[in-house]
Amino acid sequence: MKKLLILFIVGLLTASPLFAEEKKEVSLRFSRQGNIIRVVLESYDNFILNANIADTLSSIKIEFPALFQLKKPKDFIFETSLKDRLLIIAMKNIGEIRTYKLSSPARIVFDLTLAQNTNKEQSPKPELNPELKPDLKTEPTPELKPEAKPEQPVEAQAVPKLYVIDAGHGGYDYGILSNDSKEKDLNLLLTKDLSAALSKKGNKIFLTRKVDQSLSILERIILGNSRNPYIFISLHSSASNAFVVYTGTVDEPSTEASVLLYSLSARQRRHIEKSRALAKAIGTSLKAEFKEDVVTREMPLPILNSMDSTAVLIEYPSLQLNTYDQQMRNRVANAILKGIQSYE
Amino acid sequence: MSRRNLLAMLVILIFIAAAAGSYFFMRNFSQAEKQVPLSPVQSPLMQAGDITVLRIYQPRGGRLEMIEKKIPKRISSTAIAEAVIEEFFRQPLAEGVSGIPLNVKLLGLYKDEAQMLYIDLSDEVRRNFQGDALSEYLLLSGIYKSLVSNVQDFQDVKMLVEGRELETLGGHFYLKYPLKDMLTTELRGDTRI
Repeated sequence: MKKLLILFIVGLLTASPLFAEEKKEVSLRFSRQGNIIRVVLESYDNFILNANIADTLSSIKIEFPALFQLKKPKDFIFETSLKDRLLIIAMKNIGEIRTYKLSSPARIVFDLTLAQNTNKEQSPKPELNPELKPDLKTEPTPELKPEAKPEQPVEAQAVPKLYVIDAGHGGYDYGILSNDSKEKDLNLLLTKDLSAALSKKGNKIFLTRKVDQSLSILERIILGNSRNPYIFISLHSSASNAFVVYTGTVDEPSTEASVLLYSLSARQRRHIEKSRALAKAIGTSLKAEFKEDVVTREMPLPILNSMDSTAVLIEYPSLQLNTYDQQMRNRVANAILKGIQSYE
Repeated sequence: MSRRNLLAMLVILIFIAAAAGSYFFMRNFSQAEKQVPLSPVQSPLMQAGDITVLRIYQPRGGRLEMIEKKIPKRISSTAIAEAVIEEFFRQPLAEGVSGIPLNVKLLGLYKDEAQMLYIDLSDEVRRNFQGDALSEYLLLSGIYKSLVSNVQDFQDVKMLVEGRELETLGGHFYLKYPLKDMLTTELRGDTRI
């Protein structure tokens, strides 16, 4: 009996490391915008950092550093298979794959372009890695190629205008905090109110986020530009009690390599006059509605300077100093709508 | 020894003890009043050459305001840069200054071969930052301008948080790229409507 007990304890001690090797969870989510399908794998920092990726147009193989458990939506469009530390995603009809490893939260992002669209533009494209190349800020991503622009006025008459509305912050990034509210939540509510107001006028709307989720600045830029919008609006809270309407800052053209490398205004340059006019129109409308301080300000905000469309960032008076109930939010949304209408 | 002598000796001993006690008490009390702690730069022993004057640019009222801060002399540029960052975030200097996160510690500061100055700050800089786009711009440009004004031998500044490169500090500006070119853009003033 005594021997049995000793054996049991020894066995338990030997087996304990096996139990300790807990399976890490990898969550998979996906979304589709136009001809681009985005697949995101999210997990712990080291798990993502040490993952090896091999991709072809028919499959993506990801080898994680340890055993893992995959959590994926039921309606995921591709087949997945797991083998020890290996995750295989089998795909069809994919013309191009772009892979990014991003942090905070750690994730691997695959942008999969469907084959029928990529056949049209076979011109060689520079390899862009948002994490490694600072000059990404100056170079349009494939979706935002300036060559596509001349078609816009012809299409604009036939189809409703598309607005991209970006709710600032989200996920782990709370923005400004008040006693009982967070800027990220209020931004989202205001975004939805503005979206509803614009939709009623027959416009098409695309929201960079519809729920409370983390989105990097770069992801917002890519999402915004991929839609080729008529107007891009980002909503945030001010720290003061004033409305502030931002436009990008366009530097004087420079031939210096270092300046060009970090120039933030390459895309916005050709839209800046329209952006300024829109900012003024929205500012005037907000002033008429609220009689509060309203200022327009130019600032080298990456989300504006990298946007290849008319773009403004609107800050509403601080949520620490004001209450934003439904009525107040409607007033803000309607005032912005009136501003847009007077700009047009 | 008679009882009377014993009593007399006891009285004398008590008197001596009381006198000694009051002497030491008065001595310490009066010295404590005189010994107001002097900061190193106020010390009469310290000459003007022992002092480094730092120019710190802090955000106040929607713009950067320069204040001068005297510290004991530092020779190496890295030591001066460290002092600049510490003074920038120091309380109570930073209290009430809009947009400067509290309790931020400098974890490390170093230069690479390309003369890029890396400043590694504690996570409080991210967690305790509560501000809008202007606050974030002024915080980053305040750090950059304070460094440029006091230290010359670096090309650019890169900010790390807990040793890691973050995409952004407060959701408005990039932190993953060096600060210089983003922050040296000439800003136009506000237009009030």
